[in-house]
Amino acid sequence: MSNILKVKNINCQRSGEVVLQGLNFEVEAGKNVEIIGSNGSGKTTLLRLLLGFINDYDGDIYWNDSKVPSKLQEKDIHCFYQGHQIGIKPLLTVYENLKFSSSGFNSSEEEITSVANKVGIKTFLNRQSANLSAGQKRRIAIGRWLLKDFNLYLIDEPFTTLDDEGVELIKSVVTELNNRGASFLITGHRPSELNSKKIYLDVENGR
Amino acid sequence: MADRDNTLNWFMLVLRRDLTLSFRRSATYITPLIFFLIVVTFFPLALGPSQSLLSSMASGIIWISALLSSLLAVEGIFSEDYRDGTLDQYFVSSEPVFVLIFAKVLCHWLVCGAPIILASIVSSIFLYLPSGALLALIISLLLGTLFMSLLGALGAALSLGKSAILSAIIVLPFSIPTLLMGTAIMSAAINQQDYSGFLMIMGAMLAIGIPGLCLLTVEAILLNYE
Amino acid sequence: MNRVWSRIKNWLIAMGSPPLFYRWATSSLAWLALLAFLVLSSGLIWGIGFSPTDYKQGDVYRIIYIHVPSAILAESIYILMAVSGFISMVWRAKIAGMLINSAAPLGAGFTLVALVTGSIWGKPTWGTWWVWDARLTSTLILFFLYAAIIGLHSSIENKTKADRAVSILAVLGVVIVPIIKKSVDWWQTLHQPSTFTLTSSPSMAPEMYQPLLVCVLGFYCLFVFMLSNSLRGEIISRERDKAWVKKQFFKQ
Repeated sequence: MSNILKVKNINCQRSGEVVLQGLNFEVEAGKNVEIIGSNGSGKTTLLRLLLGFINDYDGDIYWNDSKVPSKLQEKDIHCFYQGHQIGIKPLLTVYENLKFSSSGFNSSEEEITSVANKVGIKTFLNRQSANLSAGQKRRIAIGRWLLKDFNLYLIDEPFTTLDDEGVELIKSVVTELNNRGASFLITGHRPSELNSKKIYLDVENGR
Repeated sequence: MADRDNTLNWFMLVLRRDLTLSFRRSATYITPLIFFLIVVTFFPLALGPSQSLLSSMASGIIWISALLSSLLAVEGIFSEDYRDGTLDQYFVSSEPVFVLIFAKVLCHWLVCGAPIILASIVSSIFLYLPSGALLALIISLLLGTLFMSLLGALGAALSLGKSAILSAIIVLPFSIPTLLMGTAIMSAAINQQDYSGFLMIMGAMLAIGIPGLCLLTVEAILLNYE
Repeated sequence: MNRVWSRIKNWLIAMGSPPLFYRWATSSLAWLALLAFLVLSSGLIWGIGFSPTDYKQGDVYRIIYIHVPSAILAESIYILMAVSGFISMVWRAKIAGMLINSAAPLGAGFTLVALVTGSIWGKPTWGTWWVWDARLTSTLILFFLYAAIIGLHSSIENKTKADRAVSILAVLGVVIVPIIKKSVDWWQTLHQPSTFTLTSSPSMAPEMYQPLLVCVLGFYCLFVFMLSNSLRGEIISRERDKAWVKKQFFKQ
């Protein structure tokens, strides 16, 4: 099984405090990895480090088995990222929020409508997103995962503010994307029911 | 080449999204116009309504009001995207971010520049601008407001999250060449001299400024991510 | 020659490390101060006390012994900040960023001195406290550029980030400053056909500009002393959590 992402011996300090120490893991194609830890344990730092927003670390990152330089501008990781702030613009309609996204701007109207249907927001397609609940906004974010195929999805705390239905939705979407060969690296406070390798971060460490 | 196409697609994405958002919120394009008119109105209020006095000062007053309105209007260009995570996506996109920044600046200029030009035309009547200078006013302001939008975006990026007045003191000294150039064009037009040389200089400033300032703006934004 | 060059280079690179600079500054402050005092006082006394009276302007012109060096220093310091900013951006040298923060208030101070002395010079000579000639106007704008750097740096809490932000501003500034000067010069000619410059007296007797050169040198020495002092303080306050600082202060 090939590794989409491999992380070796990452050490990272922020403001003088050790945030990640000796972290090692791999993400295989079609499989998922979950990083679990409490607030401040370094989950978001890890994601931002992988993406290149944080340059100040030791260790190696391998993307598709080739080593990645640490400067942001030189990184060429083609992945999908969703951070804490999901970037749903309240003034745009649901359709527009899907279309004007990093994955949706080349999609046709039918594709967007069918994705909206899949995540259960088709009825709101032309409603301004300001009028939606937090859970519904999260569904728009999930819809964005489906609009374009990426090999790796880096999602920061996807399960917050979701009810059981929403959790089920994520599970089915992730499974569908896994079958297409994509992998997910997600973070959270508690282990989820997803089929994934769980890595626990205490306030200091990696597994 | 697929890469260039993708960059163009991203450029259009940012442009279209920002244009859509700007037009949904009418405050975006109305407030610069009203602010401009208020500032212009203060001059006759403060200096007296003498036609000869105002006429002699008209191009300066209009240019100063345009600079200030442009500057204040561009202040919030990055704040929403920075707060809701959209700005992150530009960096994750593997596209040259300065191109996307230029898309944002271009959108801002299209949306706010037009009301400012409109307000300046109205002001030329309020301030008895000598006839014949109107065309020069419009052309010079078109170029000048674009330059101000670029500078203002850099100022907004450097002072992201801080006060507007700080952004103003950073940006205004750098806009002095634009101010001098613009008012020179106006004087030349009023005296019926050829001002195409000045236009070329402004054009050259833009040609260097567009890539240069956008690149520096990207650096400034990245500072906020450390 | 090459050996001298490489020795200078090595010294510069060594100075890039905060602890080494701190040690150098601490040991050098005394003689830097003495040097500045000697050169500056001799220049000033020579110029103000002993140089001949100008037949046109009388004795008031002597203020150039403070005005001209201040103005020269105001511009040089900005260039230094821009070079430092460039070094900070390209090589990520922390001390280069700190240097900008230390040098900016000094530069602003010299600019202010230049403006005020220029103003004092203008009053008896031209009858007004201020005149919008090209040099004074450019100097005023330079003051605003310094203010922008100081303002920006003070508004950002994370000082490393603040350093990088003012580096960008300084580098941009140094590109703009010649453009501003050129355009102000040209603006002057546009609005006033007879240009007068407050500060350049091309026909200066050697007895007048020799002390001037000494004063300029003296001001530079003063600046080096003040910068070293200020930068030393800046280093200590920024690096206060580092091991070398703790060792330094608990050693004695």
